[in-house]
Amino acid sequence: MATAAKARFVSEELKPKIGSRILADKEALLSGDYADAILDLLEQRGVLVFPEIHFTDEEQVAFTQTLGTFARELRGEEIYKITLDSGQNATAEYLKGAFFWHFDGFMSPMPIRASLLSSKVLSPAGTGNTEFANTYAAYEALSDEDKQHLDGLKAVHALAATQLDVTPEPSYEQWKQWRAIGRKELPLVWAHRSGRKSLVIGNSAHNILNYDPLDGEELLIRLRDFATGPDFTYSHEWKVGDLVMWDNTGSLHRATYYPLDCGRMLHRTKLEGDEPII
Amino acid sequence: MPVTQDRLDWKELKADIGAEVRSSKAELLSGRYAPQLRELLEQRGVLVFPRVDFSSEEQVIFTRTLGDFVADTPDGSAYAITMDPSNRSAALLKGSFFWHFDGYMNDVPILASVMSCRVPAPSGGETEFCNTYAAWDALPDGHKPQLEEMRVVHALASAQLAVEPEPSYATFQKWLQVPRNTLPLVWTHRSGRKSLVIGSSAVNVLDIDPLEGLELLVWLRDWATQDRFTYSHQWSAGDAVIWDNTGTLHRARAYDPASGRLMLRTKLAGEEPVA
Repeated sequence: MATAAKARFVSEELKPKIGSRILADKEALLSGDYADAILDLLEQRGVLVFPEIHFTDEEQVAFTQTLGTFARELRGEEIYKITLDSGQNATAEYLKGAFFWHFDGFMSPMPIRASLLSSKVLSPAGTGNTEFANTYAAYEALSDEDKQHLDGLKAVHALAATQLDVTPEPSYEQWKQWRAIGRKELPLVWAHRSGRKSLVIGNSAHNILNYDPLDGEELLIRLRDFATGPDFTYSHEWKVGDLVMWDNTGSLHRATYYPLDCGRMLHRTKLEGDEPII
Repeated sequence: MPVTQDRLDWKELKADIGAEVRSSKAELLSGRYAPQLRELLEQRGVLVFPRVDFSSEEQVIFTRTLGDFVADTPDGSAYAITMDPSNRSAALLKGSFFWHFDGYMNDVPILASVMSCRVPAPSGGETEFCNTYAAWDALPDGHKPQLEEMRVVHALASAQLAVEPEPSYATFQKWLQVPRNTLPLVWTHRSGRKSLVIGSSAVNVLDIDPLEGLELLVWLRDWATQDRFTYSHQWSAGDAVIWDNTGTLHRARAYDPASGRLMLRTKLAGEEPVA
């Protein structure tokens, strides 16, 4: 039995501090038998790659459901189509913020636990990678002095901060639309129930509370630069049929540049979060 | 003797900004209209000299007729502005695609810049100006007392983040080597006139929540750069313009960096601190 199970599900590290590749067949993954193992591994490794697993939309939804509470999109869809082609995605403009390091759902009471992306159409070779940074590993590697300094600090996160990267000179009308999404204060360091800690940073972070804004910007840039250094990052070059799943509570991600009209298409599903950032 | 007119020949470009000066090159270089040009500059924000065809030396001479010349180059010649990759400052120049004024890091920003066009871009590359005196004057009176109390931090880092939103820490620290400067939001000039001191260098408003301060800065920039306060100059070779850096913002519109667009700039020293 043990031998058979091992053959059905194998994992190997991609880099020492981030990422694992899962070698398993569709049936094994869809059975739910490995759900606990996958969730443990996800928390440890930040990002899991299922090379060329070729899930259909239905299979991707079913697989996601084996792992926890399935999170639907704003308008109730199960699958979110990620493309910068404005004909296929009404919110394509907002997606340009995805070229900068971020986590998803900073406005939610509990940010989503994980996202799963399936590659359907590739961008030209050498473009459109998805990159991940392990914010648990980055926090753990900070100096004791830094850890002490960050303890208790809070940052203000806002959609406007993510959109200013894309549109640095908005009209006031545009600004008011961004503002309508609101803002949220979050600790710079997330002390998870597990006892582990991760950095809560990314392009949504606008300023640090009770800090001079420029000094706060400097600290946010220093932490982002550190956390996205080579030790803590994995860059995924897509093949059609790849599924990549990341722990949204312990990583940042971004897309590298690709031509907006190239047809690149990823299908995303999400797992509900079950833990507030505290 | 060339026939000279007894007064400066000019016309308005738009009601709230800009004048086109039609006096001859010889008259301009003579300095005889320098006081009128200074007056007109302050009133109109930007003066255009269509196809005046200053040589580089003539541009320096003309600039010197108007005030204290600031050398931008080791030999005091006009400074060449090009996005050509051979220009080591090309990356910094990208900041000029966003509304700004020059010299925010100095308490006495330069008074004015003269810019002439050697090679225009085949398309794009316009320079746009907005009148921050006129924009201030037109603000609803109810807003003014509060705005006049405010102070704003300006930094190169802010202007550069618009170009490069996700810099390395090393890059950000280089930007921070240019010290930040705190300036009033509203400049009360010695003349008694007031102008808005805003633009891409503005980081935050002191003693206000940073996002709310940013909103105020976005609103004021949007207000000041609306059509009625702005003039967009489409360049022909030989055109020169001068703008009042103490009462305008300016920006360049996008153009192909490989287009060969080449401009020459000279500057006049500031005469008055932002107060």
